[in-house]
Amino acid sequence: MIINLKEHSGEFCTARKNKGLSQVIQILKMALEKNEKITISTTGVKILTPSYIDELIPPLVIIFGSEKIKQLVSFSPPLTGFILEQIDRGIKNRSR
Amino acid sequence: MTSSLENILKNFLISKDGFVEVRNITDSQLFDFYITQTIKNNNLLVVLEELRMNSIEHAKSEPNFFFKKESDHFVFIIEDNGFGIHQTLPKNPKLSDTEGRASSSILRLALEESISGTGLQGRGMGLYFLSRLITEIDGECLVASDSGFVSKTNDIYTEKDLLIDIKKNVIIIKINFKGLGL
Repeated sequence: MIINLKEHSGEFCTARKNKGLSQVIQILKMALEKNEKITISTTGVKILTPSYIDELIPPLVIIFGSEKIKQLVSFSPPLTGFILEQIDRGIKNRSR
Repeated sequence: MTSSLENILKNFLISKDGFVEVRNITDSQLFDFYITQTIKNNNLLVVLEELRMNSIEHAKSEPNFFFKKESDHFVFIIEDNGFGIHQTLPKNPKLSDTEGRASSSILRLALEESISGTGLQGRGMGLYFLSRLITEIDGECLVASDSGFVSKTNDIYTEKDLLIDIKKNVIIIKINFKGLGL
């Protein structure tokens, strides 16, 4: 399954209160409940921030655990830099 | 790089001459600036956007953005008239002892990881990522708020109290072309 982030959150996935964020979380939850692999496509997104990512991934880690998230959720193209670092930090903090 | 960030701050508070100004910069304008200047360091774009979002959260409006292109470096400045950082951090129960401390010492603390007014996990990363970026690309930064500032150059922090309350937040970032991927 592929989720196109731009379709839900627009070209600027930056704010913690982004309007489409809850919709993306809901889609991810439904797929994860079915153990479905999900690719989050950031194609067409102009700015993606650690804050947005922090609202997206850690809540799912709390529900499904870090192993399941690592196994089933991926980004295309793969995340880099501070954004990737924030995901790792979010998983680490919520896995304690 | 000849002018110190402290001098840039002092001159900037008097006059914005020499800077290109984008008032109330939006995410779209920030992205266009990044593309127009052919900057290739994505972490810088991420940091500038996080700082822009911080301003919106605290000042309830977009900040003003300034930039100046010199012979071998850029100077970026983000300015807002929102609450100072020293008013926000003591709201975090774990940082309540910062209440009343000198502005410069609170600003120094704000550059550390996960230091925020909310104390929530994952918060307080904007200024921390700025500090990290400066280390990674050998840049310089200065964060001024209320009556103090902290600057970081060559991994050395300098805290200084000002004689006046500047009544705004000013963040200055100085990065050479190499650090920007130019």
